[in-house]
Amino acid sequence: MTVCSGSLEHVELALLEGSELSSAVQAHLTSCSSCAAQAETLKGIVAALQASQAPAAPAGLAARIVPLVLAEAQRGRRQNVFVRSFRPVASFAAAFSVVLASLVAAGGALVVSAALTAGSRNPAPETTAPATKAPVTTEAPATQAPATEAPATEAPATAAPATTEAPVPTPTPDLPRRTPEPVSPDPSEGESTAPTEGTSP
Amino acid sequence: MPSLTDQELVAACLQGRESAYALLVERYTPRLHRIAARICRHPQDAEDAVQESFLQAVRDLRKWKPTAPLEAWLVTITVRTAQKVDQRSNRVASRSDSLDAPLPDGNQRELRDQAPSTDPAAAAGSADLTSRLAAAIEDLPSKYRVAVTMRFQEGLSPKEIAEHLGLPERTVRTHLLRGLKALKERVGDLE
Repeated sequence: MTVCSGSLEHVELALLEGSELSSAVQAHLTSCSSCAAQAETLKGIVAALQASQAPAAPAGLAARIVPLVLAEAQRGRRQNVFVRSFRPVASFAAAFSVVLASLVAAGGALVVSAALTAGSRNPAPETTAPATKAPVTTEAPATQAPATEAPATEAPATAAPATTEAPVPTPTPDLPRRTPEPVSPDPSEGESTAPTEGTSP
Repeated sequence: MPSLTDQELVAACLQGRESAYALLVERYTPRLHRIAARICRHPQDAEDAVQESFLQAVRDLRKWKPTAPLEAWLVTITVRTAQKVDQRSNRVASRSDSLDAPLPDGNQRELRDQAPSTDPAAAAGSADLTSRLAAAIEDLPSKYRVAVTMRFQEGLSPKEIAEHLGLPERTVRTHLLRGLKALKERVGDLE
């Protein structure tokens, strides 16, 4: 049986390559009627496929396609002209945006580092805490509870915890860690919600 | 103008000469249509595929390199486009899954022009095989059908088919063998 299946594979491969069958396979086909019948079926299929002809292109197909091709070519040329004329502008804009983005990133890093250093040097918070830094260094506005220069939204945020801690003058670095204590209404959000809760009342 | 080489023809097209585009389409429409008609199961899909192939070729004309024949480049575009068109065609869904069901007009086109036999009995048998084979080819999975038709009807080598389809040659050989086996089973079952 394995000899039979192997023979048929040889037949298939020979048909695939368009080559002749080996004498051993031919000898097997003469002695095995089953394999010979299947080989004939395969040969018949391939012969029928090779003899078939594809339908001719319908008359007028090329004539229908030509105007579409011309329109497409014109569209492509117009796009090329547009791209060529605007390429310098586009490249300049891209370069400018990269420079701008890097400047913004560098500036942001400087501001954050300045805020961090200011936070570690607690005695002199002054006015270095802009609106964006308030959540990072919450202790800084706490000491400035009455300060008027702080943004209106953040003054109450830090003022609420400040009422609990205000009498204690010295250990200001511990203030932010204690802020969750007065927080009661929202159990789902932990210490990170402290500033927002301060604003709501 | 008709005697232009491929390279000259493409150069003239890129210069914007309309007659060059017309010549490009007229020169290669018969060949590309034949390829598309082998792959697509409906005549209208084959025409759509040829049209889309030319439009794609015009868009990518600058990418053609004279190291490869223009016709082979266009055939590659057509083979891939025809596969997509055939797959997305909702007409495929309407065709019958049964080999015994009457076939719509376009479905037997691939084999209907077979050379006639002088023996009436043989001619009847041949026509029977032809119609069964046409139905069996229609039912093959697309990848097998494309490989089989490209190999045995268009006479392309497995290596050429692999290049057109962007597949490894070994994969194409596998598709050919499986397609041939499936055809044998489907045609043989009816004998």
